[in-house]
Amino acid sequence: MAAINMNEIEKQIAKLALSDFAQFSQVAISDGKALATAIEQDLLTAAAARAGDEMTEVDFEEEKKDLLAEAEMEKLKQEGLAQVRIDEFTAGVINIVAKAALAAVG
Amino acid sequence: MDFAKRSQQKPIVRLALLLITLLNACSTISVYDQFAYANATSLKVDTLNLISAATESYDSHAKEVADLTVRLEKAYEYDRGRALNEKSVHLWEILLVTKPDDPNSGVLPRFIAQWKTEGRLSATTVALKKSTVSRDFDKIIELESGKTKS
Repeated sequence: MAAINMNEIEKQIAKLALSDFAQFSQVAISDGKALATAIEQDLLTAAAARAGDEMTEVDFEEEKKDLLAEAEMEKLKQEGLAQVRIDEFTAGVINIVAKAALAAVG
Repeated sequence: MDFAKRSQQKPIVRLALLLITLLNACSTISVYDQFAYANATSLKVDTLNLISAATESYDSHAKEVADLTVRLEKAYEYDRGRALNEKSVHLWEILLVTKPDDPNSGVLPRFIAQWKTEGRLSATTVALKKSTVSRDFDKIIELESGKTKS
Protein backbone atom coordinates (compact mmCIF):
# COMPACT_ATOMS: atom_id res chain seq x y z
CA MET A 1 0.00 0.00 0.00
CA ALA A 2 1.43 3.38 -1.09
CA ALA A 3 1.49 6.40 1.25
CA ILE A 4 -1.49 8.76 1.18
CA ASN A 5 -0.59 12.12 -0.38
CA MET A 6 -1.48 14.48 2.49
CA ASN A 7 -0.28 17.61 0.69
CA GLU A 8 -2.66 16.98 -2.17
CA ILE A 9 -5.53 16.34 0.27
CA GLU A 10 -4.85 19.64 2.06
CA LYS A 11 -4.75 21.54 -1.25
CA GLN A 12 -8.04 20.06 -2.42
CA ILE A 13 -9.79 20.73 0.91
CA ALA A 14 -8.59 24.35 0.89
CA LYS A 15 -9.87 24.76 -2.67
CA LEU A 16 -13.22 23.22 -1.70
CA ALA A 17 -13.57 25.51 1.34
CA LEU A 18 -12.78 28.60 -0.72
CA SER A 19 -15.31 27.82 -3.45
CA ASP A 20 -18.09 26.59 -1.11
CA PHE A 21 -18.01 29.25 1.58
CA ALA A 22 -17.05 32.26 -0.56
CA GLN A 23 -20.09 31.67 -2.75
CA PHE A 24 -22.33 31.13 0.28
CA SER A 25 -21.24 34.35 1.99
CA GLN A 26 -21.83 36.35 -1.22
CA VAL A 27 -25.40 35.02 -1.51
CA ALA A 28 -26.04 35.66 2.21
CA ILE A 29 -24.83 39.28 1.91
CA SER A 30 -27.01 39.81 -1.15
CA ASP A 31 -30.06 38.30 0.64
CA GLY A 32 -29.40 40.53 3.66
CA LYS A 33 -29.32 43.65 1.49
CA ALA A 34 -32.54 42.64 -0.30
CA LEU A 35 -34.25 42.05 3.07
CA ALA A 36 -33.16 45.45 4.43
CA THR A 37 -34.42 47.22 1.30
CA ALA A 38 -37.77 45.40 1.35
CA ILE A 39 -38.34 46.07 5.06
CA GLU A 40 -37.38 49.73 4.70
CA GLN A 41 -39.76 50.13 1.75
CA ASP A 42 -42.70 48.47 3.55
CA LEU A 43 -42.07 50.41 6.74
CA LEU A 44 -42.03 53.74 4.85
CA THR A 45 -45.25 52.80 3.03
CA ALA A 46 -46.89 51.79 6.33
CA ALA A 47 -45.75 54.98 8.10
CA ALA A 48 -47.06 57.14 5.26
CA ALA A 49 -50.38 55.23 5.25
CA ARG A 50 -50.70 55.63 9.01
CA ALA A 51 -49.94 59.36 8.80
CA GLY A 52 -52.55 59.72 6.07
CA ASP A 53 -55.11 57.75 8.11
CA GLU A 54 -55.28 55.01 5.45
CA MET A 55 -54.21 52.51 8.09
CA THR A 56 -55.37 52.03 11.66
CA GLU A 57 -52.93 52.06 14.58
CA VAL A 58 -53.66 48.35 15.15
CA ASP A 59 -52.88 47.52 11.51
CA PHE A 60 -49.66 49.56 11.71
CA GLU A 61 -48.56 47.65 14.83
CA GLU A 62 -49.38 44.36 13.08
CA GLU A 63 -47.23 45.39 10.12
CA LYS A 64 -44.28 46.07 12.43
CA LYS A 65 -44.72 42.61 14.00
CA ASP A 66 -44.79 41.04 10.52
CA LEU A 67 -41.54 42.74 9.56
CA LEU A 68 -39.85 41.56 12.76
CA ALA A 69 -41.12 38.04 12.07
CA GLU A 70 -39.70 38.26 8.56
CA ALA A 71 -36.26 39.23 9.88
CA GLU A 72 -36.37 36.19 12.19
CA MET A 73 -37.35 33.98 9.24
CA GLU A 74 -34.43 35.29 7.17
CA LYS A 75 -32.07 34.43 10.02
CA LEU A 76 -33.47 30.88 10.18
CA LYS A 77 -33.23 30.46 6.42
CA GLN A 78 -29.58 31.55 6.41
CA GLU A 79 -28.80 29.21 9.31
CA GLY A 80 -30.41 26.35 7.39
CA LEU A 81 -28.51 27.16 4.21
CA ALA A 82 -25.27 27.36 6.22
CA GLN A 83 -25.99 23.85 7.55
CA VAL A 84 -26.45 22.65 3.95
CA ARG A 85 -23.04 24.15 2.99
CA ILE A 86 -21.38 22.53 6.02
CA ASP A 87 -22.90 19.13 5.14
CA GLU A 88 -21.77 19.49 1.53
CA PHE A 89 -18.31 20.55 2.64
CA THR A 90 -18.06 17.55 4.99
CA ALA A 91 -19.17 15.22 2.20
CA GLY A 92 -16.60 16.87 -0.09
CA VAL A 93 -13.80 16.33 2.44
CA ILE A 94 -14.78 12.67 2.89
CA ASN A 95 -14.82 12.27 -0.89
CA ILE A 96 -11.32 13.77 -1.22
CA VAL A 97 -9.92 11.58 1.57
CA ALA A 98 -11.66 8.49 0.15
CA LYS A 99 -10.20 9.04 -3.31
CA ALA A 100 -6.73 9.51 -1.86
CA ALA A 101 -7.06 6.43 0.37
CA LEU A 102 -8.41 4.28 -2.45
CA ALA A 103 -5.59 5.45 -4.71
CA ALA A 104 -3.07 4.45 -2.02
CA VAL A 105 -4.71 1.03 -1.52
CA GLY A 106 -4.34 0.47 -5.24
CA MET B 1 -11.15 -15.13 -7.25
CA ASP B 2 -7.80 -15.99 -5.66
CA PHE B 3 -6.82 -15.39 -2.06
CA ALA B 4 -4.39 -12.54 -2.87
CA LYS B 5 -7.12 -10.53 -4.62
CA ARG B 6 -9.59 -11.12 -1.78
CA SER B 7 -7.18 -9.92 0.87
CA GLN B 8 -6.49 -6.78 -1.19
CA GLN B 9 -10.19 -5.94 -1.48
CA LYS B 10 -10.93 -6.13 2.26
CA PRO B 11 -9.48 -2.74 3.19
CA ILE B 12 -11.32 -1.12 0.28
CA VAL B 13 -14.65 -2.59 1.37
CA ARG B 14 -14.02 -1.56 4.98
CA LEU B 15 -13.07 1.94 3.87
CA ALA B 16 -16.17 2.25 1.69
CA LEU B 17 -18.42 1.14 4.56
CA LEU B 18 -16.70 3.53 6.93
CA LEU B 19 -17.13 6.43 4.50
CA ILE B 20 -20.82 5.69 3.93
CA THR B 21 -21.36 5.57 7.71
CA LEU B 22 -19.43 8.81 8.14
CA LEU B 23 -21.44 10.57 5.43
CA ASN B 24 -24.73 9.57 7.06
CA ALA B 25 -23.54 10.56 10.53
CA CYS B 26 -22.31 13.96 9.34
CA SER B 27 -25.65 15.24 7.96
CA THR B 28 -27.09 18.08 10.02
CA ILE B 29 -30.08 19.01 7.84
CA SER B 30 -32.58 17.12 5.69
CA VAL B 31 -32.11 16.77 1.94
CA TYR B 32 -34.37 18.43 -0.64
CA ASP B 33 -37.95 17.15 -0.76
CA GLN B 34 -39.96 17.76 -3.95
CA PHE B 35 -43.31 17.31 -2.17
CA ALA B 36 -42.45 19.87 0.53
CA TYR B 37 -41.26 22.31 -2.15
CA ALA B 38 -44.47 21.85 -4.21
CA ASN B 39 -46.57 22.31 -1.05
CA ALA B 40 -44.90 25.60 -0.19
CA THR B 41 -45.08 27.07 -3.72
CA SER B 42 -48.71 26.08 -4.17
CA LEU B 43 -49.73 27.39 -0.72
CA LYS B 44 -47.93 30.66 -1.37
CA VAL B 45 -50.18 31.34 -4.39
CA ASP B 46 -53.37 30.33 -2.56
CA THR B 47 -52.50 32.33 0.57
CA LEU B 48 -51.73 35.49 -1.40
CA ASN B 49 -55.02 35.10 -3.30
CA LEU B 50 -56.90 34.83 -0.02
CA ILE B 51 -55.13 37.88 1.44
CA SER B 52 -56.19 39.85 -1.67
CA ALA B 53 -59.79 39.11 -0.71
CA ALA B 54 -59.39 40.80 2.68
CA THR B 55 -60.64 44.12 1.30
CA GLU B 56 -64.00 42.32 1.18
CA SER B 57 -66.00 41.09 4.19
CA TYR B 58 -64.48 38.30 6.27
CA ASP B 59 -67.80 36.45 6.53
CA SER B 60 -68.04 35.98 2.76
CA HIS B 61 -64.62 34.25 2.76
CA ALA B 62 -64.78 32.34 6.07
CA LYS B 63 -65.00 28.95 4.34
CA GLU B 64 -61.95 29.69 2.15
CA VAL B 65 -60.05 30.72 5.28
CA ALA B 66 -60.96 27.43 6.98
CA ASP B 67 -59.99 25.35 3.91
CA LEU B 68 -56.66 27.09 3.47
CA THR B 69 -55.89 26.78 7.19
CA VAL B 70 -56.29 23.00 6.96
CA ARG B 71 -54.00 22.80 3.90
CA LEU B 72 -51.36 24.94 5.63
CA GLU B 73 -51.51 22.71 8.71
CA LYS B 74 -51.05 19.61 6.53
CA ALA B 75 -47.93 21.10 4.94
CA TYR B 76 -46.57 22.01 8.38
CA GLU B 77 -47.27 18.51 9.70
CA TYR B 78 -45.54 16.97 6.68
CA ASP B 79 -42.41 19.01 7.34
CA ARG B 80 -42.59 18.21 11.07
CA GLY B 81 -42.42 14.52 10.22
CA ARG B 82 -39.13 14.84 8.32
CA ALA B 83 -35.90 14.10 10.17
CA LEU B 84 -33.30 16.88 10.60
CA ASN B 85 -35.83 19.47 9.46
CA GLU B 86 -35.95 21.84 12.46
CA LYS B 87 -35.18 25.03 10.50
CA SER B 88 -38.02 24.50 8.01
CA VAL B 89 -40.39 23.59 10.83
CA HIS B 90 -39.43 26.74 12.73
CA LEU B 91 -40.08 28.82 9.59
CA TRP B 92 -43.58 27.31 9.25
CA GLU B 93 -44.18 27.96 12.97
CA ILE B 94 -43.43 31.68 12.66
CA LEU B 95 -45.97 31.80 9.85
CA LEU B 96 -48.66 29.56 11.38
CA VAL B 97 -48.32 29.21 15.15
CA THR B 98 -48.98 31.97 17.67
CA LYS B 99 -46.60 31.50 20.58
CA PRO B 100 -47.27 33.37 23.84
CA ASP B 101 -43.55 34.07 24.32
CA ASP B 102 -43.12 35.49 20.79
CA PRO B 103 -45.58 38.28 19.91
CA ASN B 104 -44.30 38.39 16.31
CA SER B 105 -45.08 34.73 15.62
CA GLY B 106 -48.22 33.43 13.94
CA VAL B 107 -48.20 35.88 11.02
CA LEU B 108 -51.23 34.26 9.35
CA PRO B 109 -53.39 33.64 12.47
CA ARG B 110 -52.77 37.28 13.43
CA PHE B 111 -53.86 38.36 9.93
CA ILE B 112 -57.01 36.23 10.07
CA ALA B 113 -57.89 37.57 13.53
CA GLN B 114 -57.32 41.12 12.28
CA TRP B 115 -59.58 40.52 9.25
CA LYS B 116 -62.26 38.89 11.39
CA THR B 117 -62.21 41.69 13.97
CA GLU B 118 -62.21 44.58 11.49
CA GLY B 119 -64.59 42.92 9.01
CA ARG B 120 -62.58 44.13 6.04
CA LEU B 121 -59.08 45.62 5.70
CA SER B 122 -57.82 48.67 3.83
CA ALA B 123 -56.17 48.25 0.42
CA THR B 124 -52.85 49.50 1.85
CA THR B 125 -52.94 47.02 4.73
CA VAL B 126 -53.73 44.19 2.32
CA ALA B 127 -50.96 45.22 -0.11
CA LEU B 128 -48.40 45.34 2.71
CA LYS B 129 -49.59 42.02 4.13
CA LYS B 130 -49.23 40.39 0.70
CA SER B 131 -45.75 41.81 0.34
CA THR B 132 -44.49 40.42 3.68
CA VAL B 133 -46.28 37.06 3.47
CA SER B 134 -44.97 36.56 -0.07
CA ARG B 135 -41.40 37.04 1.16
CA ASP B 136 -42.12 34.78 4.18
CA PHE B 137 -43.10 31.94 1.86
CA ASP B 138 -40.04 32.66 -0.28
CA LYS B 139 -37.85 31.94 2.74
CA ILE B 140 -39.45 28.52 3.23
CA ILE B 141 -39.15 27.83 -0.52
CA GLU B 142 -35.54 29.08 -0.78
CA LEU B 143 -34.42 26.95 2.16
CA GLU B 144 -36.04 23.85 0.65
CA SER B 145 -34.64 24.47 -2.82
CA GLY B 146 -31.21 25.19 -1.32
CA LYS B 147 -31.03 21.75 0.31
CA THR B 148 -28.88 19.05 -1.20
CA LYS B 149 -30.60 17.11 -3.98
CA SER B 150 -30.01 13.44 -3.27
